[in-house]
Amino acid sequence: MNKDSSAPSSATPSASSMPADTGLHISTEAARPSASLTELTTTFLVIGATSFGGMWGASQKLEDMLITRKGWLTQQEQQTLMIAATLIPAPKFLAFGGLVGYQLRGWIGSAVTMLALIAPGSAMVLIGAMLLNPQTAGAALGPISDAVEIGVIGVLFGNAYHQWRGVKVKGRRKLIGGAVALGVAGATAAGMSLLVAAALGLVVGALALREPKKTNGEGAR
Amino acid sequence: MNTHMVGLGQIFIVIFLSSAFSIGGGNGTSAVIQDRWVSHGLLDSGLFSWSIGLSYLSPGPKCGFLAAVGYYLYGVPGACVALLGIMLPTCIGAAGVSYAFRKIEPVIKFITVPATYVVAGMIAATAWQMAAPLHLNMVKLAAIAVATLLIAWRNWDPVVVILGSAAVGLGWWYWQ
Repeated sequence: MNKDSSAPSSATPSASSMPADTGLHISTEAARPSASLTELTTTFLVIGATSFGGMWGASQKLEDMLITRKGWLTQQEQQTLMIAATLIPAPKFLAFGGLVGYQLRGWIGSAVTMLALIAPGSAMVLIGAMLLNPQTAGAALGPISDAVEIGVIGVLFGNAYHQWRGVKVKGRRKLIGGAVALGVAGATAAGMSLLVAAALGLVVGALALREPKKTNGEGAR
Repeated sequence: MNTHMVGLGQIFIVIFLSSAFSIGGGNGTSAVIQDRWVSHGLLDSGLFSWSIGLSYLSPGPKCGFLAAVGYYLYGVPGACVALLGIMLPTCIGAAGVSYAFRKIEPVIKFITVPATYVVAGMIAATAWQMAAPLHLNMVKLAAIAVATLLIAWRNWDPVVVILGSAAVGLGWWYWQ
């Protein structure tokens, strides 16, 4: 079981350099551990081979691998890159991988990361296309696909909960944050574009969740 | 299979351009493939659905279904070209956004806390968008609740949950 995936971000290598008053992870190039192309490849091969449910479904695993184990990103950077990935006209998970690779090793890192991320799943799909066809396996595919989809939905809701719980703010700000999250989800469910809902949520949240002037030790991870 | 009715160049260009319709997480690539190849009889609709179904059972990005689409159109070279077609615009987009990302870093500090909650909302919204078309009955709702609890409360690895779900689906098919 993935007990480490919800570990507090203080376990990350960059956490010790966080300002105590805000808790923000502001990493510098010097503070970030270097990532070789081999490490990037193996790490994203593992992520690509063990993640289901797209980028959001993999958020806990990404946190575990990229922040807790490797220290390549801070929590803040991962969250920002996930949002940034939705702005790229490309599949989100692939775009996230490309962004991480580019941040760590430039163009080559971006290409290597995307290739490693997409390779395991694509190989499985390709082998499935070569060996199976809808006539022979179609009857079994339906129930299995439905069950997997239900599992993915559960993973997504679980990850949403972890994301909400992980923010190190308390009291009124925690409630407001929950309202922002519900607002984004509700607006999207009501038909609003996900990007528009997220942008509105960011604006409202930034205004409502401003850091109190005389706080000590409360803030985001 | 309509092998070689579509050239490698066309596979690359159509998939490259289709990525432009994927902004915000939309499934634009599928729509473009449907329009360009399935509707014109160049790719069998059953094989197209099969490709997408396979990608749901496979790990990693869901755009892996393009490997099967490319394969059905032009064999293994088609699969490779299809993946190249989706990776190249993504690489360019990642570089562009990374450049802008460095410029707006001070703003990012300001939105860190709300961004975390917005991401939580986006994840929940994605889950809802997947669940809505399923016409959920009590059994399916209970299954989703169990999977959610296993992830949220017991911190199970998602892979275990997904593989368990696949096993339940296989068992259900066998029992039927």
